[in-house]
Amino acid sequence: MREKKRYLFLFLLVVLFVTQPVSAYLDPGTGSFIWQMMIGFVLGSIFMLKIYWQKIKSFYKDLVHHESK
Amino acid sequence: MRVNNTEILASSFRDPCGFIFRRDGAIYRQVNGTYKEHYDTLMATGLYENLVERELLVPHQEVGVSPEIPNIAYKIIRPKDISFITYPYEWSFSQLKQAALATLEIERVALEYSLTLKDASAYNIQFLDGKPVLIDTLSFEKYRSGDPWIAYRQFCQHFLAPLTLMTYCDIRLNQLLRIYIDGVPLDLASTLLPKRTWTNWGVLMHIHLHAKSQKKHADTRSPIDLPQMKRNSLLGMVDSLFTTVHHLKWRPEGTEWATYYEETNYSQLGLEHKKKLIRKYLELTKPCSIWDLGANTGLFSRLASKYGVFTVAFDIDPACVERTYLETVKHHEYCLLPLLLDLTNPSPGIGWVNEERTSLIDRGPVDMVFALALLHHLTISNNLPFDRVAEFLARICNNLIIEFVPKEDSQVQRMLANRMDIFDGYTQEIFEREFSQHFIIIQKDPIIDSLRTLYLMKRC
Repeated sequence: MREKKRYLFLFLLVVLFVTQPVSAYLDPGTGSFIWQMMIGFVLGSIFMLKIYWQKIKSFYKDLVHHESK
Repeated sequence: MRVNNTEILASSFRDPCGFIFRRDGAIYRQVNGTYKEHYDTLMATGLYENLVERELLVPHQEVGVSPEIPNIAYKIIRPKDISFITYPYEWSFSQLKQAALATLEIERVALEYSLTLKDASAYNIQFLDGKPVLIDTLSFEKYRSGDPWIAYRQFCQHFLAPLTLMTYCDIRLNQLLRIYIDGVPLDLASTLLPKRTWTNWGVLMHIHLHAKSQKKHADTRSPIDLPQMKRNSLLGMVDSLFTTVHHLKWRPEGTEWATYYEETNYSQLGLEHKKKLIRKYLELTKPCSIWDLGANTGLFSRLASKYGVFTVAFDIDPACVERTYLETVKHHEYCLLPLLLDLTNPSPGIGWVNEERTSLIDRGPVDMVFALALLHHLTISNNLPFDRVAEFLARICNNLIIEFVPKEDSQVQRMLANRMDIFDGYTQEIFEREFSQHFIIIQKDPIIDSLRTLYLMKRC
């Protein structure tokens, strides 16, 4: 449990840049809000890797397609 | 709330940016001045055209009708009519899943135009021409760099939690949405889900750990001041939710779809004659909309829907509704809408003052009801007397096609095989007498090669 808390704290540190309050008619829920911030960095990184991987794949696919012509 | 001869819909009160009202039978949406900047951005950036073109957002027209509350009004828009308003607890697994994916796709596209969804309610999605579309045009707001997705909690509660429960626990758990109007609480979903779901990365993150975070911060009273969330992080979260939902699958266990629910005690001759009679009755009445109660997989619903008559195919069995929905998608059957319904306990009015989500009866009356091979289930399995069934049907329809199945029929005999026959009043004579209190019998035809009789009735 203590170890998990330490990881969560590290996540918070990593994503800590500038603070800004959010306002909306819908209550985002404090726990949901904090959790979203914590996983955002990891999910964003995975997403970027996915995008680059797709670009690499598509580059090689085009290359192979081009050569086979 | 009624103002003069118009009515502000009871479901339209949460968002101060506008509301829906009905005037002279038409549905309008008032856009308030506070929403002006966001509405203009939606229309000017091209997001509206993009989403409408992709059939993800309901199209609307700006109209010159007088506002319902003029002092706060910016514009009045008239959205395209939705044939029948439905609720997530009436949807099959794939209907809810497609609605979830549509919501995420809308959020993804909106972010491309620097807008975002400020809510992700399942009630904002309706089926228009068979496709899930967002009906709340005021759901968009300008994306502010660094903001998280304000609707994340709502999306998880309205879509992800019920879908996960339907996949891993029991398909009937979508009925929790009837109890929890703002979606299934994540701590409840986390408790109900089996341990093996902790190995599913998406479910672990968006339900189990999300629920723990909610619990941990439930007592937070002071304003929170958190770091900004980069746009890529937001896109990553939407992508993660999309992948998680996309991988959730459900198929009826132990059944072969090809033969599922196709048992019938009709001969081919009898079945064809029944279809012929229904076609004849449809020709006589020319209904504009139909509810087929106990539709099974929509065999008879299609007699009407394939000729362009909007037909709702209700059934109690999630497998039947799922199968019918998948077929409507595959064959582009835009006039057929399958829905889940337990007729002995139909959708009630729920939410604030029991009016936020309307009951089945309040969404009627419909032009015509099909009650085919249904009556014996209601009267014998559910002990409902004929007069009560007739009274109910008279409340929900103007015309009725109903099938009388006598006690001698093999289906009724099967139902009575293991119970005492306490149904002395179950005769064709009493059936006609009780239904004549509410309906005029227009046509009466015995179905050949069977003991059954088909009736066309008109409400008195």
